[in-house]
Amino acid sequence: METLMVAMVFMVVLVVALGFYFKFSSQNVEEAGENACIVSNTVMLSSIASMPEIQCSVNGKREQCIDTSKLMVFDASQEYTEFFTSNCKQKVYFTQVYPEPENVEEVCVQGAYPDCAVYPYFDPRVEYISSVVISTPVSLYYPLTDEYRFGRLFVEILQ
Amino acid sequence: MKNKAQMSSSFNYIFALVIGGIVFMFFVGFAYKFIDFSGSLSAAELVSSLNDEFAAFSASDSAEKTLSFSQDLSFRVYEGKILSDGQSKDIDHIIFAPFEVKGEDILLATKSLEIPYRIGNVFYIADGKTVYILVYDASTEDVVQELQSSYTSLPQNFPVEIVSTTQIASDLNTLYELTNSYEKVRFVFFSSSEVYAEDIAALFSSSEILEVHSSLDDYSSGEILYPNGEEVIYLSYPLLIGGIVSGDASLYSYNFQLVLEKLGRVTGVYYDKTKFFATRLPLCDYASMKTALNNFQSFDERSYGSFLTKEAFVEEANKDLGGECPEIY
Repeated sequence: METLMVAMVFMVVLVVALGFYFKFSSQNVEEAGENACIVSNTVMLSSIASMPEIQCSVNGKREQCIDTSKLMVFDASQEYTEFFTSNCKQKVYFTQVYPEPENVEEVCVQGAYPDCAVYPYFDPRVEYISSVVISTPVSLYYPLTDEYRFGRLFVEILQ
Repeated sequence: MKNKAQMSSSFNYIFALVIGGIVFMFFVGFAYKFIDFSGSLSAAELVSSLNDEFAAFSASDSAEKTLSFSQDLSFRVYEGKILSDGQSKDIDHIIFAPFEVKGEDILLATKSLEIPYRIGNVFYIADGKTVYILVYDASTEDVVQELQSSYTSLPQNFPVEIVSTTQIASDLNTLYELTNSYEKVRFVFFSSSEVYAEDIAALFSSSEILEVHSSLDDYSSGEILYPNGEEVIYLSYPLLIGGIVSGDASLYSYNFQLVLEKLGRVTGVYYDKTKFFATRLPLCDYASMKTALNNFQSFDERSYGSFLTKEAFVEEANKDLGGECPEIY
């Protein structure tokens, strides 16, 4: 009977200890995953701006700007689902900063272009509690009027 | 009494065996789960670090880098996946690589692909254990020299040698000594290899021969013949390099299909942009550009001639635009 009790207590202590160990390990892995996600998205900021589907080009050679007319015709939400959501979910959009638009929240669609402010690029359309926003300045090019405006590229990491 | 004591003692032994067995099985199961988890984690870390390198690389037209790890790695890049230690992770890039990449140092490189407009970057992976020997004759010397040291060259961190067919015929032993430290030697002939194949096979125990053919003087598009007799087409130098680096024709063909998908997607964007411009600028004639882009989406994938013809139409239509009527790319 005593042996049985000792074995039982030993097993209980062992299970509790392993439970703590797994909880601690999974927390570490989750934290590492979140950090990796932020690092990946920071790297992604530069790669989004160089996607051929939206980057400016002159005679086939890339220019360091975003062609806003391409943003009007390309829907990344259909083509790039796996690319954007492989590590974690995020929303991507461009905004015009200068000259300051009359309505800073006006979403760009073909009818409103180019007098608008926000160019949605990728939206996973999921519910989220909070988000971490990272951004970088970009040059927005308007080929119909051959002018450049100052903008920002935003990546909103959804949590 | 003695009998009862004997039974109790036997019961204790059996009980200790059962409990010991359960605890032992528990630890063995735990160890297996942990090994599995560690493998999965290191595969995920490898893919994550490669993905970040690729993402950072894609902002560049041409870049090279050597990644050094603290331990020997071994992985395969197969049909959009990186396979390592029984684990598999998807990777969303066009990557040309040999059958298996192993070692502490991984060689990475990228080039921008423009056919005729930029459709993205292609990536190359190698482990430095294979040396690529580009073989030229009198008519292809310039092409091969360009492939060794110019903007269109093979990555500078990949082991590459160039030799003439004359050198192959007269002094194969020197080449053997030069490449002795490599596990594998891959000959890439920009001429016929038929005359030399037997001598090469006799001297180099681990070697293979590829042939590149083209009707163009600069070999910017053409065909690659693999040792198993399979022939594939390439549409620019970055794809030729991809063919040289790829383990075999099927590994190359998978990536070639990704290139065509990407070309189709970017062409679709330019086609829609053309329609958008045509609506906004009714005085401009975008009809020929629309037709050229539409035709470009459907060329014969087995013929680089068909591609070049349709690419020329797109380039011509784009050149005709300008001024009040903006170019499409």
